[in-house]
Amino acid sequence: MGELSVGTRNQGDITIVDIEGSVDTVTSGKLSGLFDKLLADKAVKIVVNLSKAKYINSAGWGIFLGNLKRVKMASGNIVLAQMSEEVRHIYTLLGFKSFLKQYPTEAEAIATYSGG
Amino acid sequence: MLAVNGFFGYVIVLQMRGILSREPSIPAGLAESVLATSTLWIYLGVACSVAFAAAGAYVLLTEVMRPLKALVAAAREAALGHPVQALAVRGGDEIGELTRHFNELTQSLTVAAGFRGERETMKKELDVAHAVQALLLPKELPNFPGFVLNVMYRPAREASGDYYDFIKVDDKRFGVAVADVSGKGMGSAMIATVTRSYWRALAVGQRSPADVLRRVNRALHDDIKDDMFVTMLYAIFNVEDHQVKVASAGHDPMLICHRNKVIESIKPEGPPLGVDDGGLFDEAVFDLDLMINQGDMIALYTDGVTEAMNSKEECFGYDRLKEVVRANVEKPAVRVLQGIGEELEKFTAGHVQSDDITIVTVKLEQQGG
Repeated sequence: MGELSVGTRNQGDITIVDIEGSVDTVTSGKLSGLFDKLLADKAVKIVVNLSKAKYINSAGWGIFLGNLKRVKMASGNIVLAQMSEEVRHIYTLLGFKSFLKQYPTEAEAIATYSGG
Repeated sequence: MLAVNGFFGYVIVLQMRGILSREPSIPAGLAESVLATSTLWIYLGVACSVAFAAAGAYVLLTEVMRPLKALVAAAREAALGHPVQALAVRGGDEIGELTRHFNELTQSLTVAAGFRGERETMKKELDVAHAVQALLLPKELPNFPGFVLNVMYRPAREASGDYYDFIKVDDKRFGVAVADVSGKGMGSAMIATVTRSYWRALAVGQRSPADVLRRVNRALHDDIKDDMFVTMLYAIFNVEDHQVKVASAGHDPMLICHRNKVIESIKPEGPPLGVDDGGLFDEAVFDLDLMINQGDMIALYTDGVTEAMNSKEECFGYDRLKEVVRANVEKPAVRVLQGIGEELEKFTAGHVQSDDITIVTVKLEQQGG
């Protein structure tokens, strides 16, 4: 259905994951592979920048949810930032706000990791 | 070739005999020894020709005939669909090249046959999943006094995780649930059946849909894979006072179209089932209370309806769904589903259905005038 590219940046011990394109059944493997690597590297303070994410299907949300448990067990978290309208619509409809926090800017998302 | 050589050899010997016998100056003894030597050389020549001919025939056989025969035999086997081994590449350029190409071809055919075999196995598995799912869906629509129920259930080609169910909660109440398991395939279909079983066991006698969702969540949470979740909309109808209680676990809104054609979208908040052990889920789901009146039409559905796509990759959408319901609310209850079905077909215009489509309509009949 679409292309996907994923990348990471670091800010101190926080890893920012940039998602560009569509997460669907075909491309979701890239995203889950990235999370596997982050967990293996113990990079568990994660901010996901979704400003360039056009679409995330249930498999994609499943990857966030599935890895959320693992990072939390390692005292980390996954926080979302800069969702587009379309992505926010699904996020709201599915009620993910109970599990995954989201912020309008990357800076605010990063700030959740400081201050204990 | 042998015959030709032999013939010419014989002719030469004869000619020589003839020539020598006609020459008086050549002594008879000399003529005889010359003839004998010549004959010997001729026989030698013939023998060499035979040898060369034999050698030539042998080369022809190994370089050309045998490889060709092997190719023909292998091609015959391949045409019958039997597995074919790669052939040893022998022989000259053209034959060798032909053999190489043939080997590549049969290899491709074997790989393709392997895929076909895998696909056929998978298709059989999905057929089984579909059959199991169909068995577990309600065999007939239940009868609850004053209400008319209708269902449209169109599973996508690949087994997915939609289902619907009804239950008699107690003497005054009945429940309607519509659910959607994330993802596709056997895994999702199986979680759908597991969810349904938990729900059927836990919903009896429970008047709070949110409570039932909490219990189902707790039960499901251990069974379900970390990256899967289930959305569910559960509404309990009271046949006496026409009150409705609704709770939602991340599911699409419930539509209520009143007799006066006003449409409401009912969406109590709540996260999907199966993710959390209850710590967050329990707080987040709640019951929403409504009243419905005679002539009101309620629709519970899954996102296969609103996200049905046409060839331009546009979605059917929530607005179109509302319009069809509104247009048919005053007609016999079954017309709403028929209308939705017709609009969906017109909109998608044969575009492949990628997700299950599930719609349940509940209409509170008008009594008397």
